[in-house]
Amino acid sequence: MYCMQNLLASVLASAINVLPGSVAEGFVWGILTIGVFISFKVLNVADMSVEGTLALGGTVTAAMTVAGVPIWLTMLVAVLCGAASGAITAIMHTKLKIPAILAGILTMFALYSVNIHVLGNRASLALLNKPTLKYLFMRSFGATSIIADIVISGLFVACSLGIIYLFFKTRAGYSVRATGCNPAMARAQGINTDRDIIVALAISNGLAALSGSLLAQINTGATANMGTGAIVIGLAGVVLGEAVTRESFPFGAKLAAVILGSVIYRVVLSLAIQLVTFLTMDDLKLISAVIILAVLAAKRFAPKHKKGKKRQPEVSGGGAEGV
Amino acid sequence: MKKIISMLLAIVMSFALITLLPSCGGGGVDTEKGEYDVQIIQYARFDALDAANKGFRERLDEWGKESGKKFNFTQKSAGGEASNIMTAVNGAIASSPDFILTIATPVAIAAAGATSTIPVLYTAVTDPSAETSRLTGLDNVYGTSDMQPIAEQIDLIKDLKPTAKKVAFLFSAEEPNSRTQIEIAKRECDKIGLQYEEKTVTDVNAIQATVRSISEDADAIYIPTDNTIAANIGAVVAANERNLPLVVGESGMISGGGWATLSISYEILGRQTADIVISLISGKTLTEEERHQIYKGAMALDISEQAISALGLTKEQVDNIKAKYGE
Repeated sequence: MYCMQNLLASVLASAINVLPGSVAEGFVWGILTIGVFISFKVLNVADMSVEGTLALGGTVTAAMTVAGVPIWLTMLVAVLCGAASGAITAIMHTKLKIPAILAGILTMFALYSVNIHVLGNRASLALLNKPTLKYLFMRSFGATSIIADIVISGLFVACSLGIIYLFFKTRAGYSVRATGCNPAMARAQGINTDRDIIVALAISNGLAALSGSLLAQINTGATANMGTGAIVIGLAGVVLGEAVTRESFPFGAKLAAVILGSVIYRVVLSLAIQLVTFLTMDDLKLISAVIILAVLAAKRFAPKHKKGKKRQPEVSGGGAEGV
Repeated sequence: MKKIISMLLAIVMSFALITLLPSCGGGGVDTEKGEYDVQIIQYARFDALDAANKGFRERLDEWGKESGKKFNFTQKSAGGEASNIMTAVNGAIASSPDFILTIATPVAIAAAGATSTIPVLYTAVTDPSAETSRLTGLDNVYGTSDMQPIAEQIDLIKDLKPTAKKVAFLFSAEEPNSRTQIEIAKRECDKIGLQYEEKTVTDVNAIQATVRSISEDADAIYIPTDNTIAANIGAVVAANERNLPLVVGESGMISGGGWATLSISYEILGRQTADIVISLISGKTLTEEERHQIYKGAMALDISEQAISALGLTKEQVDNIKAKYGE
């Protein structure tokens, strides 16, 4: 019994140690998750380019910071580069009629080479002792790494959420949502759906690049392949965010929920690793798959909510229905 | 559902609060402790990195038995992906260990950027002072480089073929790492009086033509750790009609037809890294060379049967070469 208590105490202690870090991660990846939410759920387009644009955000920030450009400017350029890449995917999809998933994969492939060139023909570049936000924050306030991570990522995820929320309240934003819901009807209403897809994918990939830029600053360096797995992480956040909301929730709440989803995903991953001691970081992928599967299954088999008159839509993972 | 959301929010917020409390830093090395917590962060699962990990732990455990100290190791891996580095590094720092060992560059720079108090050791970083790492000049960072012994590999050409006058460098033009290695190789050639010529490959299909264009008076070919050539070493072997000795940058190329190489042992490199920890615990003040070390251990000679017969080397001669580089 005593041994059991000891074990519980140590597990709890390690959980408390690990959780703040997971929250910071959830925030950083939450920015990407908003982007994936826009493409997969709002626009109903399967966009894989984020794996490339996330890395592009990181490499642009790293290369420019090393060249002595102020950090805010590098982040701005990173977001613009990401947005431009997203627009290219969208143009391939809308103008050349290439299936969205293939257009995204092409962009992702092409960006791998671009990223190596951005880094000056290297596969990686370090930002140690360079004036990144994290470095400046830790220096100015004497903060620890985890606090710096949480504050910086929290600030940016909150700003991104606010700006995207406001955007979807504008005429252009409603137009994008209409395009995602029912493109034929949107066109019948005189909406230029091609333009909306370009705008939405630019925003989505701009957010992915911002996420990558912050990740490079937090990881103190960028690599050309740092976007690997980004789409899975983004989708996990979207799906988990959906799991904690209902169809009747307002749009803003659904948007905010994907960040919560991203945080939950990271927290559960870290906890799983802490709790199940025989699993290591090598099993991270397996654990992620099981978590997402569990959430999807739970939602499928959960008893229908008594209060809501609305029907519970099937969870579609890839986003068959618009929002 | 609402309850679940509010519960989750409460959990998230309470942990966010905990982080705002001042956390206690490591603050140098405690030489008096009996037990030391060491967090090991390995970037990915490769044989070489696993070997460094093992060597590090074994050396510390051995020393622990002699000196009565105990080391508790916790293993973390980033699974080879940038998305996991933060999880691994933050997890390691959160437990306020006495030391963090980072294996390979991406995790080394992330850990070095995340703490300025906990001693961070690195290993399997090729060039700690290069733009890709920048690990030198930090107060809490120490470690060992896994730069291949290029100078010794050039010397090996003379050992295998004492009459050699000129060596051809074969590498691909796009790989900056190869260029760096060739610069080192050139300096060593100048030192030991070997002439050299550069043969760069622009694409995979040009490898055979490039090998055939090596001039008549070249006596050997040297290939650095070049990804393009390494993946197509068979093409080099096929085009090497004059049977010039192929001295290569890493042992992976030997099985593909390379003749000989000298390589470092990652296990010994791990042990060398552990020795830095031992010096720190013993309270030694380290010089810059002792903080950022190059490989000092024995080098392994890898030579193919074909090379031995083509060069007409006796077993004794091979053993002599092995002994020269420390085996």
